[in-house]
Amino acid sequence: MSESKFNFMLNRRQAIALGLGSAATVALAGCSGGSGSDDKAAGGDSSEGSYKVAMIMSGTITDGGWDQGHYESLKRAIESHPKWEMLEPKENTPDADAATAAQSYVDQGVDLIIGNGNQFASDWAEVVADAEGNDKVHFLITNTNPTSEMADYKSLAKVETVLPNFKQTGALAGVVAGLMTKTNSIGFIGGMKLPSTEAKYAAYLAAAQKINPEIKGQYNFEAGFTDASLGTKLTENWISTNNVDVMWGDASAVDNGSRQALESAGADTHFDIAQPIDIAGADQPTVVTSTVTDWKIDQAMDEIEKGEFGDGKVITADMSNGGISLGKFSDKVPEDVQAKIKELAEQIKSDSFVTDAEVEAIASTL
Amino acid sequence: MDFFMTSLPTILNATTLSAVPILLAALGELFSERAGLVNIGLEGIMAVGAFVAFAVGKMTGNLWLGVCAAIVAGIAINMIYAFCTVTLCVDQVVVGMAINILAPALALFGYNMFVGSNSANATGVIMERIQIPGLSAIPYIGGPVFGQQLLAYLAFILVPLVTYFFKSFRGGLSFRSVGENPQAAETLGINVIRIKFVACVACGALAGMGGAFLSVCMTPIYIDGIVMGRGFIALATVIFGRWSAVGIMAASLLFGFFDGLNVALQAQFNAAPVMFFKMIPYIFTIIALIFFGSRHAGPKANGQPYYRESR
Amino acid sequence: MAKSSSSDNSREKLLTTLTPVVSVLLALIVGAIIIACLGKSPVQGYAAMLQGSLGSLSKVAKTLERSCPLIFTGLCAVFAYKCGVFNLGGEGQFIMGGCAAATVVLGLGLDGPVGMLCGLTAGIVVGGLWGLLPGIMKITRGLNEMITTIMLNYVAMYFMEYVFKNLLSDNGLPKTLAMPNAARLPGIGGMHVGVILAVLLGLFLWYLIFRTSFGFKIRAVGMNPIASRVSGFPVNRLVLLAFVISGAIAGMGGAVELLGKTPYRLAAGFGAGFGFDGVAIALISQLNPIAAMLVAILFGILNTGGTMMQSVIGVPTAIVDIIRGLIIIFAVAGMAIVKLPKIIAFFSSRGPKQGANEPEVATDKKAEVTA
Repeated sequence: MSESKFNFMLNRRQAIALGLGSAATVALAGCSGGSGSDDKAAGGDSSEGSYKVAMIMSGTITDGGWDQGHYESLKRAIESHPKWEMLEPKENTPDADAATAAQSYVDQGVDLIIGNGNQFASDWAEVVADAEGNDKVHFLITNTNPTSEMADYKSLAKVETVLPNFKQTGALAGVVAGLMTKTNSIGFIGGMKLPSTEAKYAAYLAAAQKINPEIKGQYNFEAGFTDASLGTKLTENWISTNNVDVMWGDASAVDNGSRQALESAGADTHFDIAQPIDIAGADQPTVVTSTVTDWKIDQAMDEIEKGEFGDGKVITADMSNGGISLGKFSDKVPEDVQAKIKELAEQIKSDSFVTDAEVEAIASTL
Repeated sequence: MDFFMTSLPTILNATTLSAVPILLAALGELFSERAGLVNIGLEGIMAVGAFVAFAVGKMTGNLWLGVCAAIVAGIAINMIYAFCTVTLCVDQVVVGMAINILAPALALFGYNMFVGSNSANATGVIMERIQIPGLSAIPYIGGPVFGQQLLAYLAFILVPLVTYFFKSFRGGLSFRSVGENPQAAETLGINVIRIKFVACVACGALAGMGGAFLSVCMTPIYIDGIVMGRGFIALATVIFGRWSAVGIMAASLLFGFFDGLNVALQAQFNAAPVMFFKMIPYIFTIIALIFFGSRHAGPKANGQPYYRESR
Repeated sequence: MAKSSSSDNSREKLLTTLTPVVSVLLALIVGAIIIACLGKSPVQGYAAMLQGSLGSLSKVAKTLERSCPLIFTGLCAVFAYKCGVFNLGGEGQFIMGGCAAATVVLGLGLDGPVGMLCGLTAGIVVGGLWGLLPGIMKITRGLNEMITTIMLNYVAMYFMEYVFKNLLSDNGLPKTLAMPNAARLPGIGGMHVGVILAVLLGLFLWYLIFRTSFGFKIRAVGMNPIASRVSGFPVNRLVLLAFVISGAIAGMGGAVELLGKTPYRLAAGFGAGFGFDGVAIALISQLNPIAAMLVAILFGILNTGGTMMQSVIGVPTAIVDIIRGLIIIFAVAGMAIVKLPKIIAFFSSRGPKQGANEPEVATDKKAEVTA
């Protein structure tokens, strides 16, 4: 009897230890976080808004790139549209959950569901078809070409997409790169080999070569969006073997790694052009400027309020409607260069700088 | 050959950089397996280590505090493993898998709490590289070998220490006897259970440190999935390195070399289907195991639960 | 110490079946505590979870569709582990199955039921072959299959990238063309017929493992390979077969997922996470195919409902992952606790009502009722 009692005691101790252990780890993960969590926009209280908007994204809103750019566009649109209310964005959505996530927002009576990228285009076909009879909900998918990427859709009546003018984005970055490079060697890292990625790079190199035909470009279109160390290593390689001194990134966290490599090679001679949010500032010594994309969510909201949204229209984000712009310049860019960039930007805006044929010539070699 | 000569600096640099986290985690696994515990939860422990190091480093502004916190967190997570496998005698693979699912979720949850929508918290700082005067000027190998971060030096310094520990220390010898034959060790008066717990502490600490390397030395950010299979590669490294610290170091450097080769090929052959380059480190690991892995090496009681009652 | 072996047996059986249930409840309670700590209502959250996954018939169908790949990878793990093979490569085998189906259907331009059947067959065959590789490495070189299968997962993932980016790309986009309409799996009650296939497969595997002599041999090898070899079982052949069959199950899952579920294409993220989820499912279900199906459906509910919970009460989805991880830990720890010699001794020597912790209190009371 006494022996079994001893066992029983031991067992309780073990149970407590297990409980404590798991509690400690949960607390550890929670506590080490601590601050800065509650400023998220809370869904639920519908005090003012008569419209609701939700965004579904594959990464996090703080990735310093793609997803953050979308989130900031949405925040800007909310600020200019007081009738709209934002639900908490759905982060880290794997493709397998994309349709479920959209459906859960349809169920909540959301007016506008935004999918941030063409990975959602094919996954949402069924949800959009199911929501056919629902007058309220609308779908906006960014970076997607409805004719080539949404052939699965039975009806595009409730769907619109946003396409930035890739030629303008690329050319803006190309102008900056062409004027800033001393070694005539520039680089580009893209997360995924999309038509948009190739279009951006082609315009980037074309614009840089327009400024100086000697300029050579290095590129990688398959770096993914998460492995920052890959960005560091790729950039290090280009710096040491190809003398690259200006980088333009389109790969979120990977760009962060790329800036790391530029910084250790010397922030006074190696420059980065950020994308798609404006991050130039003291804590980013290598960033000379940013090509900023706004996803024109405000325009989609306007159309919904007027009842004009849908039919597979494409909202084009370009320099004339503020969809594409250059961000702040850092003090590494001399005044005269800034003036020159601004002058060429006007030419890009009026499409008189690089021709489609020049861009196409580069695109065909990729 | 031309490609090799021009890319050599990058490859060498990437070699040491990629090798360090794997080396640290693999040394941890060495302690664990020497005491007869196969821990496939390294991947999860590293994820927690990476997050905690990032968050604490960012909050306090002191990266070394971050690394210390990562060590503590790694130990804490691994205590779940220790409790389940040593005290409850649960199958080691099962618990390891559970850790691999639970721990990254904890890390991601913590990240959501810590960063949330506050993008100012998303990027931390990176550890300074220390150039050893004189030696770092050696062409080719100088930069990669003698211009690393302190944590990387520490990892390499650990290798002879661990070797010495297992060869000459009483404690190291007890480890080995526990891994080879726990019943016999018990009769010699060695506290098998205690040794196993100590092994788990060492394993958690080193794997947490390996994770910390990812978020304070390699990159200044934490991101879900940052470990990218390095924990599993560390497991392979232990087998490939024949359960010796020096072997593990060689194996992880070799792995780092192939990872560097992958990057250099990606950088220089832009238009090629780069996914085949990305396969290189993984295929290499399999090939290396085919040629050098052996079922006869390794602690004899590895992976088996130890019931004290069955003495 | 044991009073009678028959009552011990039934008690042990009850304990082992109840432990997973209790661990699920415990994990949900911990999840609720976390949600409450975030200042959100756990009741509202779990209600949203149920509503989002089981709220209507069409939602149930969607949840079952979402569980379908998990049933396949779960069964893949169950079968392998029954034979003592730690196949962690369910994901790679699943992916290769999907790749094979896509290549056969699109590459050969097949359509209609023929295309569907060829796609499924290709998935099964290639999945089996991808499982055979680590099997050969284990038999001939003694390589630990845990490591080789995981390495092969990465290789499969990058190979799939090659398929959908270079080989069968849809106009240069990083996804394959959609499977032709007529080659897709037919629907049944709002879900694709693959769910039925998965359930039938689960029942068949249960019969195979527990009711046939082949299954007996498989189990014998899993329990004690040396004794099996002494008894004259072809251990190596059985182990190899376990690799191939479990790979084929996962490969079939990949083909079913590709041909059955929108977007009917391969793209980045196809199959991601299903392999390890399958392993977890196998472990919680204690290697019982029928239980594995139930656990897979539970995971499906957590996945679909978790998304709803996240969007309704605004908590990070990582909570769902934490709950999932805790379920596994609690389940395996709980099962070990009830199997510890001293616990068994404790139960046979002591009366009820003095259980040490919650799961045992619960199980013990039940045991008393049935006794």
